[in-house]
Amino acid sequence: MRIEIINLRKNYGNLTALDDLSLTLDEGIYGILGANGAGKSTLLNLLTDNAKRSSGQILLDGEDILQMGARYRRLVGYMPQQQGLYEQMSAKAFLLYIAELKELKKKDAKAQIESLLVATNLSDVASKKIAGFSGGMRQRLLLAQALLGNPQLLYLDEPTAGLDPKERIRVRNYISSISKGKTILLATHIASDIELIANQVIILKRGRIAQMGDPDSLAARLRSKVKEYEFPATELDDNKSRYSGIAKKHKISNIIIGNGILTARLVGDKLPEGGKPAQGHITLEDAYLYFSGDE
Amino acid sequence: MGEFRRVLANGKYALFFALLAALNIFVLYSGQASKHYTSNILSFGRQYKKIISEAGSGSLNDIQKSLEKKIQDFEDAFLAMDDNPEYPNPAFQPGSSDYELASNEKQAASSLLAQAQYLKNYPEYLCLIQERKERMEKFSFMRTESGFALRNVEKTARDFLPLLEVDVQFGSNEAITAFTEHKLTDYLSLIFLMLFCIRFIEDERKGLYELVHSLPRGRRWLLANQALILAALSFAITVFFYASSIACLFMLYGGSGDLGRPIQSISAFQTCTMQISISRYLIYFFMFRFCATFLIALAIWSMLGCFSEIKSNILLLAAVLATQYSMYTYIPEQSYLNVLKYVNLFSYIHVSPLFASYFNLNIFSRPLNSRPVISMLLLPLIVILIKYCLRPRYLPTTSTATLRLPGLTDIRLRLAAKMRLFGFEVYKILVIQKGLLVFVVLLYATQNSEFMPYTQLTEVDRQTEALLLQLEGEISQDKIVEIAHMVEKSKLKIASFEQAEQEYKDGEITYAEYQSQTRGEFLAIIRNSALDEVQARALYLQRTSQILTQKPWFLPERHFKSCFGFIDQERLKQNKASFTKQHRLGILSIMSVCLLVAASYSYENQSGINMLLGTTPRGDVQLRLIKLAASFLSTFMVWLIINGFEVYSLCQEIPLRYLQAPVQSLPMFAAFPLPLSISGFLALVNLIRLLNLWSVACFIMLVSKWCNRVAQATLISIAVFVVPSVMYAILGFENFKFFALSMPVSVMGMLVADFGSMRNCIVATLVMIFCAVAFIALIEYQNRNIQRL
Repeated sequence: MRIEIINLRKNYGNLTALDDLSLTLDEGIYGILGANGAGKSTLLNLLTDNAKRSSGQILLDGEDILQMGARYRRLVGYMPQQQGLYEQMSAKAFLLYIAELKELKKKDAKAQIESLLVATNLSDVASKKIAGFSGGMRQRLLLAQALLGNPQLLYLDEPTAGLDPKERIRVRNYISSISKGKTILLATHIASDIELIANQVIILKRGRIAQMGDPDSLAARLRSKVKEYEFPATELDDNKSRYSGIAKKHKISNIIIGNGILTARLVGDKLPEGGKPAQGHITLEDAYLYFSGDE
Repeated sequence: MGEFRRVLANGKYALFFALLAALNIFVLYSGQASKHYTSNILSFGRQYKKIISEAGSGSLNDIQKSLEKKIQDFEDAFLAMDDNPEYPNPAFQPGSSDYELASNEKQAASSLLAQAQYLKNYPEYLCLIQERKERMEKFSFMRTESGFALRNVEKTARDFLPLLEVDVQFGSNEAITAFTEHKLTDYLSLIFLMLFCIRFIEDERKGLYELVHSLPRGRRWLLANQALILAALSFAITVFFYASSIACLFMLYGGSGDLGRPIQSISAFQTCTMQISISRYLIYFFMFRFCATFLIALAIWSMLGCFSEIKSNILLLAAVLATQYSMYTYIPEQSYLNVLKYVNLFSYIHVSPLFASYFNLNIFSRPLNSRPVISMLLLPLIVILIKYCLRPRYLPTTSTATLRLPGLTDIRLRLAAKMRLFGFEVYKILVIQKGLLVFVVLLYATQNSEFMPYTQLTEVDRQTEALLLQLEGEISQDKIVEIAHMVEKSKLKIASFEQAEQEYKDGEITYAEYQSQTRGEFLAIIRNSALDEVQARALYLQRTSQILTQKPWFLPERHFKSCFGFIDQERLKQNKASFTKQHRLGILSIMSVCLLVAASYSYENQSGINMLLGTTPRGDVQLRLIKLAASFLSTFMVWLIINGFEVYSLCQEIPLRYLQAPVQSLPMFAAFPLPLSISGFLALVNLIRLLNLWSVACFIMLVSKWCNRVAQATLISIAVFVVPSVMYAILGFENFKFFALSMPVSVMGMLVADFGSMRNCIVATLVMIFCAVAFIALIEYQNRNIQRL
């Protein structure tokens, strides 16, 4: 199953949210990173036909998804960013409703719902009203509904937002475990989620692809472009200090203060003299900071 | 200040406020035009002013005489014009400006003549009150009576006694009278206040509650500011709705006139016991109006904050207002429960009657004037409500947790496991959107509705009914002959009475003989009139029966009239309950459909889940079709409950065989063009009702599609589809007639000969269906072509 996005453009009035974007998605997990307004959610909305494209094509195995209509939607599982749900329904009733919309047979639906409730750790609250759910529980319920029907195309918008660390790991691992034979597009702000499970990372910048590749190759390209610098911690409050001068000119991916020493991790092509190669591995956050440019 | 800016910055509210104020003036002017039978109210106003200035300060007798002469001159002129098309003054012809001027002058003179007559009779009216008291005191049973009736009469006489010294004067009264009678302003203010208060609550529910509540000024300071905003709004309403009305009326009728005259100079204030001038009355009125508007605003605000869900709050508010209105309208003035009638929210909504009318409350059989009581309660009530509204509040609790009854949870889940998509949509309407509650309330309201309201019958009507019952069945030639015999016999009897009268006058018989010979004359005359009516009907039905497949019947028609709400125009006032019944049921249907269907799309727009649903295979056209079907099903249930009860009530009152008679047997449907039996007619009418109600459901679905909040969709639907019907059918504002959907939904109102016909009814239904289909197509078009983000 292959999705081809060809010269996709989406305008909101004078604003261009996606600018002639072309991309091919095969089996695997694709992580999309980008600043707010970079076009992540717009891309997902066009892929789910929730928004009307301005121009371009989205083809599934050579056929435009608009022509496919319900045939395409049968293959899609979508987890929106917005946590809108039927507040007065119980979690189980909600999943049964979505199963009905997804044309699942009752028997299959029941079996799948039971296993998804376990996978998302919602079994205990299955018969509770959604109105009483925390943000994390809602997030897991939305993930469960997206996975109903075992869709081959999974579009997940911020799937781990609002989850506690344990649940985040659990959800991340679950997504990874079901990825075989599926195309999963995962848009998020949390780079570490993508870093650990994505086969490919797409960095969007102002509606265009700024960089694309697997996390290791992206990190490899930055090996000499990430350095750490040490300053006396007092320089933090001094506007005329060396640290302040560097902070104004370069991108800082991390700051640590300990024992009166300020350690700043800088990312860029022309870094100042005196830095040490970065401790530990190059992270996707470093890569994102580097490739996203001035955003 | 910040809160003022935030709330008042919403341009939509300012626009809506301006629109309501403009609507108020428009209805006020057009109402004046129809009241004075003129198409040019400005011209009428000018003539009115002219006549008043001509009348000057002469005595009442002189004024009356001059007005009578003026009217007589006009009548002679009009008469001469009718007789002679070549009237000497050709400009004075119908349609010409002179004709309109003359007609307006005559109307103005008539209005002022009525005023002069009232002023002349006023002292007599006051004396009558004193006489009534003396007369009642003479009755021994009244003297010993320690109850309310006698005390009330005595107190009334005591209160009116000082008015004997009041010197009522002739002057320009029309503006104040119109201002006092114009109730629409009160309702428009109420509507605006409700919408405005909902905005406060909506802000709270937008998830800002926690944030705002955690700020230093986010609690009592904020609430106090909101209370101040309501006070400012009350002031704005008093100025832009009320003061602007009276200013426009003064402009219309050529100025305020002499405001120093006693208020009793205006006939609308005949029973006012306050010894004040008109100017003073206006000052009191506006002060009271401002405070009362503020009180109502506070009451609405406090009611809207009772529950966490906006819908529940709106339901509570609607229930309280409906209860208060019922008590205000239906409790009789003399009832021992009349405290509930007067110490009522609607006494503060309609302020004018408080000054213009005289009522005594029954407090443990002691009469107590209602005006001071209601006035004195105003400020304490405001203080109590402010205190209540500024109380410390906590996060609204949402009903969460496990569904409390484990058994119920199980049933619900088992039900959900078996439901198909249609079942889920119905479940959403009934359970999630509280449709079940709507049905329970609807069942209660329907069961308590008067489906067969009492119709006042004259003696002739009663006799006619009796004759129709006697002759019941197909109208055959034999029956026509029999009626002719009866008529002949009756005429002979009446002739004998006339002969006896003549003989008595000629002195041929004694008074005793005359009395014995004319015994039963009154009844005979009535019977004769009834026979004439029955005979005329028989002949008419026989003539028009050619289109029928079977012969028309003689049927007693009282129950049909009562059920269908067909009342002669002349008896409309006495039988208003029957006339408005069809509209009331229509309004009830539309209101229920609004509450059931308004959430169909707006609930999903509000929760934002529509994006998710759109990505599922059935979440597109199929889901929308199923939503339509579920809305139609709930609408069908509403229709079934209301119309089922109506048909059942009718069948309880009449023998079922009547249903087989041709509908043309009923005089009000004598010209009905289709050859149908009464049962067929009922089926047709109810089918049209269903189609029209389904159309209304489609209109509401479009509103729902456009709204992002359930409360917004519900309120807009009610404002657009229910309020005009209430304005027309319940409150009697004729201008709203063409916007009243209760007309096509109840159907019967469109079949009355005075207003419409079967053709009109079919045209209206086709227009409704066309609009409904167009609206559904528009929803589909939007889903396909409009950017959803």
